[in-house]
Amino acid sequence: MKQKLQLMVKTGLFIILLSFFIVTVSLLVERKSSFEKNQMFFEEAKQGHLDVLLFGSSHVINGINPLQLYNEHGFTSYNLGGYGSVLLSSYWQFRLALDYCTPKVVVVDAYMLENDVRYVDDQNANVDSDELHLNIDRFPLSRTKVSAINDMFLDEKEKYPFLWDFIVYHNRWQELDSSDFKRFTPEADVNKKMGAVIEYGVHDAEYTYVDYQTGGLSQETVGTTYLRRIIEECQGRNIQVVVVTLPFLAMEQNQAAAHTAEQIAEEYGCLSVNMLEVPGLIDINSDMEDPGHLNILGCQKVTGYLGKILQANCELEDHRGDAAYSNWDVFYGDFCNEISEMSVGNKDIYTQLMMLKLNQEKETFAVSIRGASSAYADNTLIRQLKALGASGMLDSAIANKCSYMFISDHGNITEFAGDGEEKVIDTSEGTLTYIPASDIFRVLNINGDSENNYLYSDDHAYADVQLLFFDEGVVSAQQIYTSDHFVYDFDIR
Amino acid sequence: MQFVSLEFFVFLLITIVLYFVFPKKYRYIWLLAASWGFYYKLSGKLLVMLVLVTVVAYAGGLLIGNSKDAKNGTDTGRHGNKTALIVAVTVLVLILAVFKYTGFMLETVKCLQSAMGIEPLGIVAEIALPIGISFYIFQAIGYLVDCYRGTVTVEKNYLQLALFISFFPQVMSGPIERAGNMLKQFKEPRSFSYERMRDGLMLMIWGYFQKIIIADRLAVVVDKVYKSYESYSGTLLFVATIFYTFEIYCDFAGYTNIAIGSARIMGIDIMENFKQPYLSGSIAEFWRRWHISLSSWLKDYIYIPLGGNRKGYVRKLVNICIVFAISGLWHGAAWTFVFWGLLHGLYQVIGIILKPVRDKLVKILGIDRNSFSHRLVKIIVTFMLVNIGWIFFRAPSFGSAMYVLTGMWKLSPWVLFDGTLFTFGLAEAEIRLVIMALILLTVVDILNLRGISVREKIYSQPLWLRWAVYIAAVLFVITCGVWGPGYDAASFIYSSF
Repeated sequence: MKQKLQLMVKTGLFIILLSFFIVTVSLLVERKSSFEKNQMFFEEAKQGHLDVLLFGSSHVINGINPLQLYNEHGFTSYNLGGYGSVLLSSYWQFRLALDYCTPKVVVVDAYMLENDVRYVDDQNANVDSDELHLNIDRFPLSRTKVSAINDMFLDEKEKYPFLWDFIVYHNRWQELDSSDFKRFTPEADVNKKMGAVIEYGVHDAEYTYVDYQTGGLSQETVGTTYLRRIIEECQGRNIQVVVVTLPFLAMEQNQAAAHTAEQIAEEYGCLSVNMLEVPGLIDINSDMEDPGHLNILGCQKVTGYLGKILQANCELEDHRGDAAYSNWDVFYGDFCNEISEMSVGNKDIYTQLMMLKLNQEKETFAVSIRGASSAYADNTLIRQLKALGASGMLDSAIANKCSYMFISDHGNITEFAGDGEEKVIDTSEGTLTYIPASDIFRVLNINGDSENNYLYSDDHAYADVQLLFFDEGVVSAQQIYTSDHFVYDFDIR
Repeated sequence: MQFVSLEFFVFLLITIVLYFVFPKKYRYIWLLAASWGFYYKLSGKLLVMLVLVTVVAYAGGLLIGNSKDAKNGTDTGRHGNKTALIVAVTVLVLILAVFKYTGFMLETVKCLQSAMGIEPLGIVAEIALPIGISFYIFQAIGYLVDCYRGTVTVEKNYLQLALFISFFPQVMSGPIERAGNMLKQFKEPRSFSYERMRDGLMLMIWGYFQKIIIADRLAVVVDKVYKSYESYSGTLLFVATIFYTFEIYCDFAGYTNIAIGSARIMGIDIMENFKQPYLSGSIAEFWRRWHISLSSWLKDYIYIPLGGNRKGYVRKLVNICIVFAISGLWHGAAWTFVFWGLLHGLYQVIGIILKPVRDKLVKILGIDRNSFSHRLVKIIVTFMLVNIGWIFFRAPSFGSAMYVLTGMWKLSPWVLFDGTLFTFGLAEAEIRLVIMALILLTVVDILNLRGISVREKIYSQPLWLRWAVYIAAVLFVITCGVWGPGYDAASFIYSSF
């Protein structure tokens, strides 16, 4: 009997030890994207630091910046938007999150409300399993998670990898790197933008937003069902719900869905914001990474708008200055540094111009285009210059194919087009002298330093676009872009 | 439900736990229920065929045992009802023929008709092949012959006989067991033994190592090359043939170890099926080490009844060829399999015919037969002969087999070093892993050949080291093994025979 007992204890110990190592190895080989995106949620939720939770698809991930909300209004939020999320998966993301905290406000984006596919493993659902893994892998196995998987999937076999992601990730043994091992240390890579992912690109198409004057959806869908569940669950827990539709290039069906979202919110007495119909909120052509996702410019506008609405309608505490929330200040500082670093040195000219727009009030810079440049046929570039404040002078340069100079001194614009006499421009960062002698040969110097012409060099005689940044009387950076069928070769001087 | 699946682990756990929970005298009933459930999950309604075979074997056994001599219990060597034996075996062979060979026979007839200028038959055989049919029918036939010979007692308990034929670890791909070994273990089940459980689990881990670390990786390269063999030549073809030689070994031996291991946990011993076959010094030795349960079955139930080596030199050679041709046909319903079998028969016949010449050569050259170098040469030659045989086994047609066989000798060894090998669906890390695994496999086989059991060595280590080895082995297999989404769980090569 004693021997049997010993054997049982030994076996039990062995099983515990084996399980421990299996769990450790599965965490090691796990793809880290879910950990990175959601880890801060767990840390903040554990401290009871989250006032607002944001749910929805990638529109939310790219469109709402919790750090900006904190900086402008002082309340804390976490962006739990999921890539490819439909309302069904957002509902379960919401339920999983509620296991760890009870926020004061839940913001849910109603994008894909028209989706009427019951299960995410249905081919018509068009849900990428990798994206779903990213959204929920970090949430430990729990009763809620099992319910989520059972509710979202029809095929039993499709469920297993979501219940134990080792099934899909074990093969990552051959691609392990330092970030996989850092997972177990305080230096682990995590998303410090509180779940948001900021996009720094801009699309190169010309879109026109069409208001289809549509009503709502003609029938209840899986999306509406799960939006109702989110609202009901929140109301059952005294959580205020705000139903939003973030701006994007919405088609007729999307606009109908946004209207239905408003109707549902009204039905439950909730606040709703259809940003598709807020006039002038974003510029669909300069504020979007692509037709669906906001870039940093759009994100800043939308976050600012949403922040004001939340501030006005929800009782949210201002934590700024509270030592317990000091990490939010640190993270916001990091974010500002990131933007600052991004403001110069971008190889992609469109990103560069977008960053100039973002930092226009803070920077003094010049954009010069040589005469007869093919860049004048680049509609995206011209659109971006106009967004920066370029006027009819640019149109004149385009029409005459002559040289063009655009100077922005902390937002004050000066422009020149064509050849001509010497021009002197006083800026807060120094006095600029500009002589447009010909299409190609132009002179620009600062504070009378005629030895240095920043606009011409034999090496870059045919550069199409040049960007110059001025700081305390010197040219702090010069970027040169040479176009080949609108693909720009980048160089710095 | 295949061995490489989470379902199987859950099934095995429940089966084993309940097996030891049930009273000993009822355990076989539970095992039969589990085995039929397992087979139903594998083959669905074709479970009926398995049950039918058990009924035929049971009725056949009873009829064979009803002979006068058998009733008297007099031991006269062969004392069963011969007519009953012939009828029962014929029924079983017919079942096998209908399910496995109808298509093959039709295709052969069509080919002959085409060759003779006659319009081929328009019939197409669409018969589903029940998984493991070749294995369980041979097992049933073996039982009937043993009853006839009086080497086993006729089983009166249908459920026990049905369990013998349907036992889940072996129903899919053997080993082809003997009633004499299995029935007594079902009648008198052993109590739970920690040592047996440990040994069974270790065997299973080794089996999974062979299957999902080695075989399934080699299969990626092999499948790619054989699928478009005309795109390759020289050393690449050669490497593919070597890879297949190891793939089939690791695939089948891996299956067998999982089967033996899972039975051992329940205290049931299943016969060995492999004894380091690629370390054989001759083809005859290879067949004593490869798929032992089939080789011994063919010897006991075909070769010896044909007269074996008792009816003269020529008849012995003919018998060898017959047995190997049957072995080939048993493996697959195609002429390439028959040729593969005959090739092995031919290897042996030539070996026997040339034996005096070989002996003389050894004497003239003063070769020490016990020397390492002589043994090594024999192993390499045997390995290459077996390797050539596997080309016909793997290739989809004679034409492709001949292409591979003739094209693989052109030297282009740089493909081993210039990264070409990494373009066949396996990343560099995986190729390295599989090579390391093959080295480990070879080392373990050599140790086993020398009578050193690695498992026993591990068991004799201190607890902490044993546990470290067990845990490392499990982690290694589940992390580096080929499984999960996209894995073809029905990919055990022998399960299609």
